[in-house]
Formats: sequence, structure tokens, C-alpha cells
Amino acid sequence: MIFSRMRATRVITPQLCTMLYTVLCALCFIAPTANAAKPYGGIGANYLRAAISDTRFALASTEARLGVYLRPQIAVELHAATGILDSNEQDAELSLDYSANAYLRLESPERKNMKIYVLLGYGQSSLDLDRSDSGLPGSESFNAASYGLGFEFAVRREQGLYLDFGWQRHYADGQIELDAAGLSLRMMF
Amino acid sequence: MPTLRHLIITLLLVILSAGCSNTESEDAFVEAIELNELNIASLSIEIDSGNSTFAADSTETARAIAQRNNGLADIDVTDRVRWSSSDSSVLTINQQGQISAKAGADSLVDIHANWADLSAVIQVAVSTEDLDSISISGDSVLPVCQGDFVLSATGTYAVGDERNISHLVSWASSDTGLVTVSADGVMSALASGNTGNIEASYDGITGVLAVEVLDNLDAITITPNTNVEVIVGQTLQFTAIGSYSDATADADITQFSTWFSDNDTLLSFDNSGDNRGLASGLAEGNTLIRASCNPSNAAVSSDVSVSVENPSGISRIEIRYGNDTEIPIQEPNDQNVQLSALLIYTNGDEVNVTTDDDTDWTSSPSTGTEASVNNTNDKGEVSFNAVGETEIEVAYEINNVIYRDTIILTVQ
Repeated sequence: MIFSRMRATRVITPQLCTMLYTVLCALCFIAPTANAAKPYGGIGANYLRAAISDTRFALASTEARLGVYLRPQIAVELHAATGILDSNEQDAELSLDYSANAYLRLESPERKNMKIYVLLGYGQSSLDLDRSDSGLPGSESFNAASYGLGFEFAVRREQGLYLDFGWQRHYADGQIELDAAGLSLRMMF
Repeated sequence: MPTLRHLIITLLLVILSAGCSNTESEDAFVEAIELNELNIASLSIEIDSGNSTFAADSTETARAIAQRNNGLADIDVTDRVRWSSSDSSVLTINQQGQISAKAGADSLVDIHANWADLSAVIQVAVSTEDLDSISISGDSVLPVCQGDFVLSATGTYAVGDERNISHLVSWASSDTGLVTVSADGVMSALASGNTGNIEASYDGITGVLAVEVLDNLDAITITPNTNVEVIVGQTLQFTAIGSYSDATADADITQFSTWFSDNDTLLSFDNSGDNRGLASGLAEGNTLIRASCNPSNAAVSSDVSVSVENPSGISRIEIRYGNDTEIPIQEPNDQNVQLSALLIYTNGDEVNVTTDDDTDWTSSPSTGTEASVNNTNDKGEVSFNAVGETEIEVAYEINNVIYRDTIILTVQ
């Protein structure tokens, strides 16, 4: 079932708020002092693979990101995503409420309009699991160190427009995993 | 890069400070999926004893039963649910459903079982009433050489209420040669034609049940009983069926019988534990077996003839020189000769295993001074070196049985 919604306004846990606040403070402190500070933003769509115990769910999300280069090839990014496609398995429906992540981005020099990058950071994902019998357990938040990698192709280099293919592991602990793979456009401001 | 270093340190600190357990969230999701995988619709709680009032300072066992959708059978999920008590000062319950009612407690308590969003609850009472008497119910007249007679003990308390205390009492037999009783109250009748008492004791009170073991075993039939073969190194389970002179139905009395083999070196029985009737083949040959209930009972089975065979019908192994079983006298430095090893089967078939991996050729003396046999690339090839006698042996192992043959070589 495909439907659009914006549930990212759901209450985010204090830990993530603290983390985001700290990162933003760090950015405010660092960015003006860094000669290479270049902000950018992007939007994209992800295919999400969630595994709970032995059951696999396939979902989709849309994602927005904001970032700033602190130095050439080193940037910090904030990602925010919300689900656009739910998944139903074993008489249970799983959807993504939101996913919020802060990353340190390290990228390679650009060659032939291509570059690769890795992401290291931390984030929180809120998933909503509804059993058909009861509608429970509902939404639960999962906090974890997250990471990812990808490569970018410069669509219009002079305008700083890149096509981005990336993969991120949002959560993998115990019997639950959440991975995202997607396509996005990134533009320098 | 002081600013970048600061940022990285900040990020690490954030990650460390934000590190928290997701256990509860994970459990909620995983349990929800498990419920759906098992088609579980609801939970209920059962007490094994059937009691709703527990004696203070006693133990009980609770079980969680899951009712399932789509006509699937209920399942026991005792070990899967989370157990809790509404008042742990009166009653505690562990995660295996074992309940402990506290001494001196006298109160109502709720027992909860939870699994994901499903839950069940029952209310029980813990009482300090005194136990007045114990009565034992169960069969008191038993056919000999049978077991699985389940007893139950009922306690009558001061105010007159009765409870199942089978799990609380200590069971004992006044004559363990006649009848035994297990810790969980299951009787076995061993000897016949006599009477004895079964006792159940708890909290200083003892209940007694007089039991009689009938002398009613008429005959014992062993199966299998025709063309019985046991392979050396292997076992065969025999069964003894008892026929009774009264209305008692025929019964499997294998585990209550004593088993005999006329030749223990060929076939033996282990008359202990749960292995009764299990015959072990030791060596090739024929023997007779029989089973009896016990010395006090005259019923003994008919003899059953058992043939103990070597594995795969192998009779023996033979060393051959050509078609002969002897080698002519040789001289030193004569040309090497090739020996063969043949497995001879009971039906007369022969299989050449000269170079088989399981075939081992040796010579004695092993120095090979007079003659030696090859046991590597050209197995069975003999070389003649000096005057003297040498014994050549071939050994072939299959199913843990080793067949051997020897031949004497003379060099003049």
C-alpha cells in the first residue's frame, strides 16, 4: 500500500535531540572558521530493508539532507527521512515513522565526474509495527551508530549538482536490522 | 586541524553519551513477530495440580497455554512468556512457571503471564490452613509385571477443603521387591501374589494405600521370534508381550522382564535401566533366548533361536596364492609373488580385497629379514630375502569387526 504522509513530527527521543543540538552547535562553531565551509542539500528516495527476527520487510522512504563541507572532502551531514511505503509480512504491518541521522562524511577526490564517500555517525529510527490482531506493539525507537557508503556522479559540475547512489546501515543489533539504499540529488548552495 | 578534531571528538562523545539500550524496543518487535509466526491469538494460565488454593510454604507449577488461530492446536508457551506475581511477599514465580508460596502467607494473589501485547491472569489463594489427612487414589490391585499406575494424593485441610497434593508428598513403598513407586507417584508391580503399602507423606501427615499384586501372568511371547538374526557389533531390541489369565489386557512387559541368553559370549542382554530386551551381538553363532517376569512368577517365554551373524554375511577372510592357500617353498632373492586377500561370504561369494583401504598386510617378524609383505602401493606383494620362516597376516576391518588370516612362508 503506497500512501504519502509526514510522520516525522513524532516525538524524537531526548538522546537524539541532544545529539542533533550538539552537532548543530559544533557546526555553528566550526563552519565560520573553516575556509572551505560550503553548505549543500539534497533530496532522494530509499528502498529500506528491515529484518525482525527471521521476517523481512521491504519499505521505502523519502529523505532530505543538509550538510556543510568543513574542509575539502570532509563534511558533516544531517539526514531526515520518513516512510512512503509500508510492508506487510506475517500479518504484521511495518512502517517507518522517521529516521534522523548525523554523519561525518569523508569523500574521495573527484575523477571523471565521479567520487566515492563513506558516512560515519549516529542516528535514531522510529518504526511502527502493527499486528493485525491488536494493532500493537506500535512505534518503537532504535538508536545506534550508523554508517554508509556511496558514490556520486556530477550531473552539472559547474552548478554543483550531483546524482548520488548510496547505502546506509541505520540499525543492526540483536534480531533487528534496518538498511537503506537509495538514489538522491545533491546540490551545493 | 583543531576544528575538525574537535568535531570528531564531539561526535564520539555524542555517540557514547547517547548510547542506550534498545532492548525493550527490540523485544517488543521480535515478540510481536513471533506471535504472528505462531498464529497465537490468546494466552491462558493453568496450574498443573488444578489447585486454586496453595498451601503456604509449598510449590506449584503454572503453565501458559497459547490458543492459536486457523484451527491450530494449543501450544505450551510456559518458557516463552514473562511471569509475574502481584504480591511477591506472598507468592513468587520464576520464568519457568515454578511457583513458591511463602511461609506464613495467607492472601489472594494474581499471577500474570505476558507475551508481547497478549496477557493472561489468574487469581489464586495462599493459605496457612493445617493439613488434616491425606488420601491416596489409584489402582490398588495390580497385574504383575506392569507399570505406569499413576497415583494421586489428596489433602484434606482443617476447614474441610480438599486439594491435590500429589506433587508435594513424598512417595514410598513398604516392599520395593513387590511394588515400587517413583517420586512422582507412578507404581510398578514387580512380584506377584502379595500385598504391600504405598505411603504418601507431607507436612507430618501420612496417607496409606494397600496394594495387591496379582499372580495372573499366564504367558510371555517374545518378538521377533522367527528367523532372528543379530549382526556382530550391533544390537536388536526384543519385545515381551505378557498374556494374563484374567481380564487383564495383553501388555508390553519388556521393561519388567529379565532376559536370558544361553550363550552370553555370542549374544548378551543388559538387564538394567531402560535397556531391557536389548540384545548385543558379540560373536558369530547360534543361541537361545528367553524372558521371564521375575523369580516369583512361573511364566517364562518360549525359547527363541537367534543367529548371530558377522556383518554383511561375511564368513571369513582367506589369503591366497593364485588359487592355493599355501605358497611353495621359495629361495632367497626369488622373484616377488603376489598374494590375494578374499572375503568369503556365507553364501559362498568371494570378494577380492587385496588392495582395499581397510586391508592391512603385516609380516612377523616385522624386520622383513627372511620375507616381507608390501602394505602400501603394491599391497600383498611378498619379497624373499633370506632363509627362514615368516608369518604373513592380513586383517580386514568392517563395522568394527576385524577378520584375519595368516600364512607361513618358508625360504630355503
